[in-house]
Amino acid sequence: MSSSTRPPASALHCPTTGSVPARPGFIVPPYLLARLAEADAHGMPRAAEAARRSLLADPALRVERERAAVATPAAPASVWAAATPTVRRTIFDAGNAESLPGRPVRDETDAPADDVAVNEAFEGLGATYALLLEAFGRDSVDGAGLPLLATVHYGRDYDNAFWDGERMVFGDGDGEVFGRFTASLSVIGHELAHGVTQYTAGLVYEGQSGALNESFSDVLGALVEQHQRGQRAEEASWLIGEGLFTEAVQGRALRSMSEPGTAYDDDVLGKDPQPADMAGYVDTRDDNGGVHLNSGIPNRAFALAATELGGFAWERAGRVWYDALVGAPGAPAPVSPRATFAEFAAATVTAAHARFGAESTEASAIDRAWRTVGVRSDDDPR
Amino acid sequence: MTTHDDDPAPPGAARGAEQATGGAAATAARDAEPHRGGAATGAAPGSRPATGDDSDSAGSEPATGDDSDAAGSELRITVARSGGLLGTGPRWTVTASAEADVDSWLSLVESCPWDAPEPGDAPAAAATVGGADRFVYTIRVFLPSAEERDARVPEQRLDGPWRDLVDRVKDAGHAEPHR
Repeated sequence: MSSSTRPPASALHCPTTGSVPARPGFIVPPYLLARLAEADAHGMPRAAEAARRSLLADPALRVERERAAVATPAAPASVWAAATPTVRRTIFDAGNAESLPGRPVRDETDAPADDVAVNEAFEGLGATYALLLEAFGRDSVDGAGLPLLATVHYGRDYDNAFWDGERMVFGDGDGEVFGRFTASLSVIGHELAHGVTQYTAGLVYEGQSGALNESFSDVLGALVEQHQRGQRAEEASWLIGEGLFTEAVQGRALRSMSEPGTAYDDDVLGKDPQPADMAGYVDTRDDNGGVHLNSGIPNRAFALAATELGGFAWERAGRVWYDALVGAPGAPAPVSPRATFAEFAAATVTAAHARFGAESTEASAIDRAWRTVGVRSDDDPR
Repeated sequence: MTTHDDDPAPPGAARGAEQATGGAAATAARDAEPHRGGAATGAAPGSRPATGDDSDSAGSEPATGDDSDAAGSELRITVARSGGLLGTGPRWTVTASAEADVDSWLSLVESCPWDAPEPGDAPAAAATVGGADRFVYTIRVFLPSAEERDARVPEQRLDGPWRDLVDRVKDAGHAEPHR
């Protein structure tokens, strides 16, 4: 089958009008696009730019895409019925205690605070919201405009950031190994992505499904950073948590998606333990069954596929990963909460067929990437 | 190296030595070595299984003095942190051999709810306990009797005596690099 005989689902593929590329997932009604096009007055220049571009795209195709979106669980009807999707952020300060949420210190309408962690969290939430809306047509973490909450200055010398089920929480770091955790946009995106997973596939946080949960957070974290910088896949660092380590640490970042196991090698931190393929899969009871270790395997599959495809990673590989996680036309159910690597890989291939066509470069690049990391084998259909 | 000798007992940790020793023996039952069960028949709470006193303490009452001084009656506690955004973490180890130290650590150990089910044992809990990227603490105690107990406690549940124990081991213990 040649590319000219793609199935009808390829109508979902990114349409182009003249030289203006529209983003495949940007499925927003015209009135809303008009509002969004003004959004840069409210500090959302990327949303505004994307909206302007989509307004120029073929209206008939947009109607097609809207129709498809109605069948997508990730885009509930309320998105269309409710008011304009608008980011609503509140940042709290835990004051170095470990109780949540802390004291509210910056709301959506407030001017920047005199606190870099507060402002980084605020901007990071905005950048993540912008990626979800512009790339995937998703209004916030739950797809229905959920307000975004973050707490900074959690604990004393606290070397971590986490998602607690409702909000992102950031420590200041100990100052010797880690600095403040808001310093990395990929980490902010990573934490909010845990919320997206929670509201969609609900991947159970242990073993392989937990590693997939972790990996999707790294994927989204990387995409938020690339999207904010306007970076193409081939220009991206594929690092998660770049800039968190102090200068004393021998390391670049927490993880490398393109080269798992190479992010750091340090006296205190040891060597980056992530495997790059199934041969190195780590069996352990620690870390919820190695969720932050084995995530290196699906991470690398994503980075391989995205760099082979080139361009903006959220438009093709990212779109497919998102479809597999939340369910999409042609691949209607999200992956199961206990999905294995193999099941998730199969879901991405199915999603790629549905969105880009069975003979598409997207489908073959994604299939090949999973084979390279040892998740798919010759037994799996191409 | 995995041990750190001569750690001072944490201030304020010294509680009644007799209670501590007896309690240690009783709650050690959960992870009882097969051989120990013979005499202690199920080791119900409050029973007095021997804690290394087969040779030098014939009585069934918990030894509160001499036998804990014996050479080899060393207590070791390790706290290993995993999880978090990074996945790996440091491990802290504290070792006590002086009687007063052993007793004060034991009283702290005994105050922890070792018999509570581990959240990790109920897989569904992993999805609902809330959140992601939280730390998980693996706590191991090597009792003077050579028995061993361990528990895995997620950060969200690290409160009360667990929190006291982990904080004191961190403060007093020797830290090793991430693993």
